[in-house]
Amino acid sequence: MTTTSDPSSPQIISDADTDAAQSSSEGFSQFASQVIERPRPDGVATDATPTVTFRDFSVFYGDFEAVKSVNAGVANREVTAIIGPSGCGKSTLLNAINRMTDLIPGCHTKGQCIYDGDDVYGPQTDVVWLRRRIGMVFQKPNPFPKSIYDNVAYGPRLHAGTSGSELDQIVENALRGAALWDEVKDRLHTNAMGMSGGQQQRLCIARALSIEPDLVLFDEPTSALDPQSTARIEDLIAELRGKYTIAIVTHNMQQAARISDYTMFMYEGELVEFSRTAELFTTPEHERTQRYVTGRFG
Amino acid sequence: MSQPDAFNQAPSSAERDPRWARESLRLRRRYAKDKRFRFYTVLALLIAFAFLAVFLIDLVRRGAPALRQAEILTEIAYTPDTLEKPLNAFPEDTRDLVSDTVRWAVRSEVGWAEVTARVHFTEQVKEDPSNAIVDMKLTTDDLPFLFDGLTIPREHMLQLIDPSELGRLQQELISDPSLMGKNERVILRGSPALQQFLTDSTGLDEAVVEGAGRLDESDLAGMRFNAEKFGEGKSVEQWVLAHHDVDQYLKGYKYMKPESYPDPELAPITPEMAKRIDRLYDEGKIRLAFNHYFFTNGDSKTPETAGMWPAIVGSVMVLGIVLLLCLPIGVLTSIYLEEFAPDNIVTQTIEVNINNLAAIPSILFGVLGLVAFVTFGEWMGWGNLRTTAIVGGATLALMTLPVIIISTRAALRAVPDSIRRAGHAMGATRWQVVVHHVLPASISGIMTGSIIGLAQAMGETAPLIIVGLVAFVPEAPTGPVDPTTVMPAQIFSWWGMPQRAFQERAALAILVLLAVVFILNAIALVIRARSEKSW
Repeated sequence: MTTTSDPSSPQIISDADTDAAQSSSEGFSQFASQVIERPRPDGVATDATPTVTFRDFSVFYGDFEAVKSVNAGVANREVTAIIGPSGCGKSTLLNAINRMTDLIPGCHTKGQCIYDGDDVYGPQTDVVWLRRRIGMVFQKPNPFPKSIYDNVAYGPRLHAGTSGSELDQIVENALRGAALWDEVKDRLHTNAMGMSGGQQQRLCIARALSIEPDLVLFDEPTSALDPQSTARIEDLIAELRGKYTIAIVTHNMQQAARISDYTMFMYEGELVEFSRTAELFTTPEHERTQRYVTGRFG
Repeated sequence: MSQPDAFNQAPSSAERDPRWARESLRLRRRYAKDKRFRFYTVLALLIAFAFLAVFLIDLVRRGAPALRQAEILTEIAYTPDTLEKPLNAFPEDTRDLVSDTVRWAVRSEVGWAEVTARVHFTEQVKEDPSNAIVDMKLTTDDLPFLFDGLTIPREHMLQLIDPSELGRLQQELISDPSLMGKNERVILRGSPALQQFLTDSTGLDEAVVEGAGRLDESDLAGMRFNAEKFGEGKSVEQWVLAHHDVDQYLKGYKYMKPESYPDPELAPITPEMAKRIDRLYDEGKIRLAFNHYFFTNGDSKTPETAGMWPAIVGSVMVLGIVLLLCLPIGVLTSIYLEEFAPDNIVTQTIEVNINNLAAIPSILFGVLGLVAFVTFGEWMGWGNLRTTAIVGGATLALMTLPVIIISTRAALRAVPDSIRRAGHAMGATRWQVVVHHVLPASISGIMTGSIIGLAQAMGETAPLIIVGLVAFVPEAPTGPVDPTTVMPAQIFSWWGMPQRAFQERAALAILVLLAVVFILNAIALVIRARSEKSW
């Protein structure tokens, strides 16, 4: 799980390398060429504890085991993508991290999900405090039906009681961080619902960033957007990497290849493979992974 | 379905090609059926509108005359003679045309009642002046034919004496201590009840009537002319309310014309009176003026002075109480049921019961209100709460609560879950998600449902009958525990009155009620339209 190579600059893995690594003669993953290797972020040690660790972690909807005994982790300040076909449990796994699965009646878990040293499902956990430290961006953009300013200001107002010019500054920083400031700085107090889908999603990202989370979860953030907005948000996530730990669920393998450092491949609730993105796309260990990333199914 | 008319003719190619002959016939029939169906729907709409139009037109026709009222210009003579025979205050040609209320008003203006009572000044008088009044003994000196004499107890005497006199006696004693111990007969101003008794023999309890009658016979009680105001006697000319029969005759109602009676001489308006009224009208001494009494007065025994102001105030007050009780309880209950209640058998039972409550006949709520508020109130020592606004409001609140709960739940449900999830993900607690996000987003739906529920409550009569709000209420309520009535109840009681002049007033009251309900519904519409949200 630790990086074996440590390039000083990003490099594109060429087709030639991938060719040689193929074990099967059924072709190679076209996404492998999209993988971008990025340097380890500053200040993160090689054997640093991952932000989130799953230990035999299972999630049940009633009797149905949606996530089967996952053992994996989300690396500090890097991007971890979770890919897999529909219904494989990747969204469930993501939602379980900040206990959004608690909102679903009949949902319970087994095993451990460790965040910041504590078991998320332990008896001592304050769910509200947990969710405050973990930001979430949903598939369909869901800004509050308030003004742009109030959307971003909601978190700081709620948790820290910030107001006045300090709040203005926080809002501006968050909107800049989400690459939205220039577009909305003149209309901060207009209704957020009046923006385009892509802008709304960036607003949701700004909202999540406004309270300086350690971990940001993206649940298929671009699947409801057009390609241009998708590209902008992917660039944004690449920028956020290094400052925030990011876990992103996506069924867009190009996206996973482009922006993530680690990839988890899930199938029918099981974690099939978990490794660095470059390796998963070029030299996957399991045949199922191979078949998925070459587009044979899913 | 709007197709160009060309399509409504079967295409000519169909007619040429035998293969399409069968289908083109069917096609023509289908278009015809379409047209017929559209026609039926429009017809249904027109019929519904026709009913509405007939109803409204009839109502306006019945109620519009109530906006005006007959008044008559007459001389009123305030003389001592009027005291004896109040009718003589009016000249012969207007005497039988003025309203009864005017005659009564003249009687109480022209003088006041006086009564002779025995007064005994004691120490106790200083604390409570009513102690000054002692039993009044009538002897054969007062009434020669009174063989056994008659003692009128002080409690009865107190009912005949104007309350202000007691204070005056107390002041007299305090300022002149030499009066202490004196026991003598004194002439005091009579109470309004005595005054009424002396003029039309009503107003006093049965027990007191005998004593008052004897006092009257012996001239120890009687009316006294108000010389301070009228000197020797004064005569004024002014416009006064005409009798409601005159009003009805003038408005041209057939039933008031003498010809409609088998014996015209026994009609309320005889042919001679009719001629006189017409003459006075032509002379400009009778006119139809704006009926401002309708909007300022309360219920009255005479139709000409009857108004719906207390009913309007009562309706507003009752509605206010309903709002105050229903909104918080209803909205909070809804929030709990929708956002927090676990999905178990208890919650489901509650939901089923709330839905059933909304379907219960409203009169049963009246019985519930009677038991819960009136009877319970008496038992708790709150006094008799029947006919009060608070009981009417509480009863209607019981009835409106299920409606508000159901519509609030619908409004809460309409808020998309994605907003709640966003709130949770931002670290809001469960209540904060509801208060910060769900409630503000559902306010317009809640308000619309509430206003519609309130508009319904405004028109309810049946439950209020049981709780006593259909009563004779001449004065507007000043607080929630004053006796009150509401608009639909007033309409109901007026419609049942013997004098037909009340009918037109009831119709006008219906129009006022309709106007208020329409306005409430319009407000609901505007609120809903202005806050249509697109998620």
